[in-house]
Amino acid sequence: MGVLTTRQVVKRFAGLVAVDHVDLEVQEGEVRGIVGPNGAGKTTLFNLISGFYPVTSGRIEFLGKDITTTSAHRRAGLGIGRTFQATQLFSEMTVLENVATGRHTSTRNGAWAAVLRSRAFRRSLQRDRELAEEIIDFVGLRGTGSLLASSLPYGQQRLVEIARAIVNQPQLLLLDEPAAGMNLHEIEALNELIRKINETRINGTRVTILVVEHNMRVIMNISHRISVLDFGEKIAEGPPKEIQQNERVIAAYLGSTTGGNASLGSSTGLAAAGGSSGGGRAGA
Amino acid sequence: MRPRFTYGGELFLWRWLRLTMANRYVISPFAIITMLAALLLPLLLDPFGFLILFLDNILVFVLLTLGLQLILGYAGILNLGHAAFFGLGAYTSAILTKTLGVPFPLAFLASTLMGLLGGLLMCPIIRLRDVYFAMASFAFGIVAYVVFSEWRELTNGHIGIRAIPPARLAGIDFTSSLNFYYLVLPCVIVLYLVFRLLLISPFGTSLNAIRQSELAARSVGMHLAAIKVKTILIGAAAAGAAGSLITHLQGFVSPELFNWPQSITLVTMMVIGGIGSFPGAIIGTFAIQFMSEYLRFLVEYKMLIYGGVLVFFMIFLPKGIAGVVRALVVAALERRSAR
Amino acid sequence: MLLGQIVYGLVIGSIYSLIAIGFSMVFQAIGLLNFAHQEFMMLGGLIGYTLAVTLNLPAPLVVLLAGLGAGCIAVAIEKVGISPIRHRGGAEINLIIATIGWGIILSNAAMLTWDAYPLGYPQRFQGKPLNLGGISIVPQNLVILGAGILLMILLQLFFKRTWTGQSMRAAAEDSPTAALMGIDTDRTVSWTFFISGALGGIAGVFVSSIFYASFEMGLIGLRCFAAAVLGGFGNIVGAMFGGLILGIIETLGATYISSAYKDVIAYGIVIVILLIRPTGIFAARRTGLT
Ligand SMILES: Nc1ncnc2c1ncn2[C@@H]1O[C@H](COP(=O)(O)OP(=O)(O)O)[C@@H](O)[C@H]1O
Ligand SMILES: [Mg+2]
Repeated sequence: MGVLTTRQVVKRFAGLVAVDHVDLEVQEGEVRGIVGPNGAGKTTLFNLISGFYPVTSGRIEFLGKDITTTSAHRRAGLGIGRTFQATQLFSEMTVLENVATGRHTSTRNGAWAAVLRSRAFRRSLQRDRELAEEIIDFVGLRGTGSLLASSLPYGQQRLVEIARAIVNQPQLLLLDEPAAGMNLHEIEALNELIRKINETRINGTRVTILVVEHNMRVIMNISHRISVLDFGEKIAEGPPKEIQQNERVIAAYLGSTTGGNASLGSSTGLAAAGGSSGGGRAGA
Repeated sequence: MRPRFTYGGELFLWRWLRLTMANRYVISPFAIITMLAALLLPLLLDPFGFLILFLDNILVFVLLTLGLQLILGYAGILNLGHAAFFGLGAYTSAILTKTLGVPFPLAFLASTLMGLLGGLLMCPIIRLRDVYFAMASFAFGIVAYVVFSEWRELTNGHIGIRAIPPARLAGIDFTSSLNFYYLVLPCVIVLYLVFRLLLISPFGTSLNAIRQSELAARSVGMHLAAIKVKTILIGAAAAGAAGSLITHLQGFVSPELFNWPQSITLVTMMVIGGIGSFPGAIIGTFAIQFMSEYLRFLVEYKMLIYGGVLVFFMIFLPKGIAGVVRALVVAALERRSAR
Repeated sequence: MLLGQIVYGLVIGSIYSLIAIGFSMVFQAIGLLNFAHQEFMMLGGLIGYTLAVTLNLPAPLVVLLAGLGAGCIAVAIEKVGISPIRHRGGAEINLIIATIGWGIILSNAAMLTWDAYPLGYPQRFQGKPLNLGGISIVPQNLVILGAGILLMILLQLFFKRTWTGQSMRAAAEDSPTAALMGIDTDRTVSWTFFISGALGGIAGVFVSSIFYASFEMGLIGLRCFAAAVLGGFGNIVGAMFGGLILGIIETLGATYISSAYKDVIAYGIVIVILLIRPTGIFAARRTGLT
């Protein structure tokens, strides 16, 4: 079954078309890589899928239901988790508290329950903490629960964000450049983590993941299929091997680099091209 | 389940305080001591003296600043028109009890509801972000003030409404300052407890979350607008109740008490006491009220000093008195844990 | 009658404009709601009074020196009590409260210096009413209107033609980038406060010559906040028109509706504008919404 379908989705910002008639069809349990030069509209696409921006036109379906006009907080409740390109943590909260907020849509939230502090209410809070602890271990941050989130090294902060996004067991997870700011060692672990999340079964179905990433080693490694965006348009789609050889993709990347000497045969070459943010498309 | 500071072998009181600060317990031992002291305090005071009347007045303001702290300190909404809700409550109670002879408990409830209604009126501007909201709420307060002062048929204009009957509840007359003290203090204590309970609940977590990162809050499914609206409604209702109390404490209402400088003063109390702390709101209310009362000997230099204190705090103590105390307590807790 | 009202509205409006521009400039430069701004106008009015009465200086010099004085005080306040807070990463609310503190300090210091009584300007500031095609106009009003408009034109030239003006615009637009390009952003902020204070001070002389000078007159200036919003907060040309429009609406509203409700009109407009068009009525639609 298609977990996520976008049909002719368009997002326009005052004259600029950031996402241009994009069709996506992502299957259950798939890891879908989204690549493209800077300013191609990848983050905007994530914002549309998670409901942070309303679409200009087009249609978005999640698990067969039309969610085009569903608000962001409802989509989170339906099972769409996400992280951000620039880390967004609650800086005055501990790691544990950060991750526990991910349970928001499943916790008893009523004001009365809070004031009366019924047993069921306290038990549900307790359960949130236990789950959060579990997930903290799962992403490899064991023992950091009581630390202030903002006191962790950057690479680990990214993991906290992922932990917060998965603690409520979303069916669809959107990761926006998760490897940015991580060292090689951490990237290796991230690869493993994404695979582990993907293999987790929730009510018998596997977690579907969309990843935006400039690091081609990561993307080629973990993606089942890759979609390529350029100037808001989807210019190619297919398994990693095909994408590596696709001429339009190579042209798009070449066009975006000032150096233009990237060796496109190797996956690291694409990484160098896409990662050199200095000469991004937006500036051209 | 690890709290924010973990160390073994600590004093029971320290542990209690620490867990309260980590929002795991409802109130700290100090809050309980303060409440008990507040209950007993009038025994030490002259029941007909000025001080107890002054305290009554401050406690009414505490109801206002606690509500505003929820809005401004916790939800991070820059509300510069809070006095409008106060005024709505005050005029409601004044008109109901004086003109229509409604008994005080009913008028008190009606005032609370009117405050809430005022909150609803403010809701359309909740869409505006920070400074824009500040401007709009400031304008909101001025519009409310003009209505209070110009809708003469209802409010008697600038002269205001006088000879308002005192509060009566279950056969007890709250005319005396002492009696009134025991009317308003329970209100303050209940409100404080309810707010603390809210704060350590998921609702409180949402408030903290929204203030720290709106994006992240949305991503975990928090409904920003709904949470902000609820905050404003709760704060506005508390202000409405405070309005009713001030009416019956003073025996009269006039619009000046609800003009924009009042809203600004409330924010000032918050900032001096400490943004994002309920004890801070209380401390700030006392500090400002005492300052404006007991700096009188400075005569014409009083306001000059007052302005100077504000600027001094903003430059050197931007987290307010509560911020200083908090830093000291955290340092002490950490020193203990280091041993 | 109506025409006379409109002219008078324009005169008042041009004064509002001068004050609103200063409000807007500071907001544009550092995102600050400056609640001390109206006190620069008050200071201008009182300094002008001293210059005109005690020193018996000619009117143009009074205007100039009062503006200079208010501008210098504005910079002093910025240096001592605004920028230090910004440099420590102070929150918005802290900055607002600091400006409120400064407002209180200024008006009370003024009361101690000039006393609490209203101070009228000498007769020579008013002149005899003229009769222009059936409308009776005080020449002073025409001078104010002309001077106000001249100042606004000069300001535009300053922003377009001078290096300081251009760097101020660049810094207001995007401070980090401007700093990278070698613009001293601390200096542009000081310049912003100077001009904002000076315009306020000059407006103060104008207001005082029509009414009187007093430590409390800042309250009039507060309404310019509405003019600034009307024109799109942070938009200088907008603030100019915002002031003029507010002046006319207010004068006509006071005559034909009720003067008591003129604040409701002004601030009602503020709320509506913020809601439907937060960048004011003159700007291309950007957004103040979340
Ligand atoms: N909120 C916004 N307002 C206006 N333009 C935007 C906004 N968000 C993104 N854009 C523009 O849309 C384009 C796509 O941006 P983005 O989705 O962030 O690209 P990517 O994530 O692929 O690097 C860019 O040109 C960017 O400037
Ligand atoms: Mg991006």
